[in-house]
Amino acid sequence: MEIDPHHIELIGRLAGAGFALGLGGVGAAIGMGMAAGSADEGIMRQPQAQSSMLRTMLIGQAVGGSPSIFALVVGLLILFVPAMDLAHVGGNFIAMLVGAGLAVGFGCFGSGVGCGFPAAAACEGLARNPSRSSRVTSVMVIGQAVAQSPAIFATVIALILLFFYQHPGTDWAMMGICVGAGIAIGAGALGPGWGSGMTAGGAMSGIGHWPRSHGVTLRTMLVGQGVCETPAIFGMLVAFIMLFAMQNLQNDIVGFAKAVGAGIAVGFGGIGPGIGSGIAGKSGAEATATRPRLDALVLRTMLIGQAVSQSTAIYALIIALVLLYVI
Amino acid sequence: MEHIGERLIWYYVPFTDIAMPGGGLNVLTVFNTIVTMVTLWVLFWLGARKRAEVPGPGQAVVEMIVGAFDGLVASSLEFEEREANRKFFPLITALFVFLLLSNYIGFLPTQYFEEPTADINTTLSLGIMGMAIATYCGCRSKGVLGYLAELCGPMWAEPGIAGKLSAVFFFPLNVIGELSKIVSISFRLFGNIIGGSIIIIVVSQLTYNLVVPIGLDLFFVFFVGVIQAFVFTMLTLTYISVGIK
Repeated sequence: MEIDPHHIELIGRLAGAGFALGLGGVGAAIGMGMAAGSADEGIMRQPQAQSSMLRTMLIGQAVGGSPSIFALVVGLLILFVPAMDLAHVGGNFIAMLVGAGLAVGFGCFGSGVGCGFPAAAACEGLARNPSRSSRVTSVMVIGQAVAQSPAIFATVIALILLFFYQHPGTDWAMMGICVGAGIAIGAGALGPGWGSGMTAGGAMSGIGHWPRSHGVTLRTMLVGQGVCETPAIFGMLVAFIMLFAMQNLQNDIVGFAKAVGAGIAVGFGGIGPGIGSGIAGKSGAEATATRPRLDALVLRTMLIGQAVSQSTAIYALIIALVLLYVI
Repeated sequence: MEHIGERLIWYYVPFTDIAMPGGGLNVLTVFNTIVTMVTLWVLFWLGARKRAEVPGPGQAVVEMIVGAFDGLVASSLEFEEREANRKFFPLITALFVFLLLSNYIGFLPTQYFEEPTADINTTLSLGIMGMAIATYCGCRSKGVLGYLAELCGPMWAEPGIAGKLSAVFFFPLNVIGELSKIVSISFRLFGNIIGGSIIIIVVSQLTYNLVVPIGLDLFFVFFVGVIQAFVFTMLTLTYISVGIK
């Protein structure tokens, strides 16, 4: 039975765009809801500060919404990117679109939720200290921007897939590489985005309570967020290896399984470590704000704890590399 | 959009047939690194040229950067005397200003200026440099045996055979952990910078270079550039201070 190439193309576009927006919109919506909820509570506590509270909430939601905008842009590209060789469209094209959708869908989920934590904590902090609104807002935006870098990694892999991986026909190896790279960076960015948002949230609630120590708290927050993002970087590393250094992957169902398995290992293996080291970073940032004199000790303990909590992400990376190169 | 990731690479020594050792040389990265270094030298020389009691604008900016990093290094390393902190202060300050200017150089709208940090070779060598310094400092302050004993895990110092056996598990884990620090620190900077430039190129094409790319430039080049330079510098400093203590 011969399937019409237009139908194959349509299947890929619909599935990919569905993954991209269906998953990618969820996180940002949850995050925006958190910000709105805590702004409500804050206005209840300090009705006279409602204008600055509303402004902070809107800024936080606007910056926190950008992961879903990344997902929207990639989703539109998935729907409308021109197919280079329409006559020979096949499984590779579907796998490429689904891979891009999975990458940006999962990847923007975590950062979307993560950006909600600092926005919520900022509104709460404003309710305590309405006079500090500009300082609180600037730290919030910095924390949200850093929490978005996993989503940026995922968007980049999706764009590379969309513009450089349009191959005609159906090959097991190429399909495996596209889907595997998408899952690796997508799921791998979920935990780190969530976790580095939690770290920023902890720092924001600390600054809300103790605005004077905002300098050291900002430093601890940035270092903690940077370390949180390690699993996403492992996911990006595996995705790059698959996309640019796997030309001799065997072209049968075993090669497909290897690539997808490696993607699942490093992707889903990064969720736990990302969120876990985010919890460590959250407490570390709060502790730094509470006792700024002890910041070096707190920073050291936080870093060691985060490094140990990320050992499972390193196991996942090792398993992925073993799958790709040894077995 | 086909020129994403395409770079000017010399595979042969110019005007000859002799192959480059190690596969090739990325000309733009070397050129832009030199441009960055020369610009920094000139800027700091101008800032420090006429030192006065009441600083002029150039001297004030340089003093601000230097003063901020002096305090930062001192509060992270926590040595008793000022001189010991000052040993690391030039390294950390130079690392930050170099990364900052490298990230900003991509804003110049010609094809010859690309961020040196968008090349994995630059960030990987800076990451290896940082971890090598941290390891060396750890060995200096605890002794080579003390450093290795720390890699053998928390139970190594306890009496009994169980503590020694636990090193079989902890030692490879800690060594991989140290190596993964290099990967994570260098790929974070590389991914953020090259990711920003790819997103700017794609969105510029989609919007026919109207309005939107300017905002993206402000975000990805100026904002993300300074934050990632600071994160890289702080992580290097923190790894050094963890190694010392």
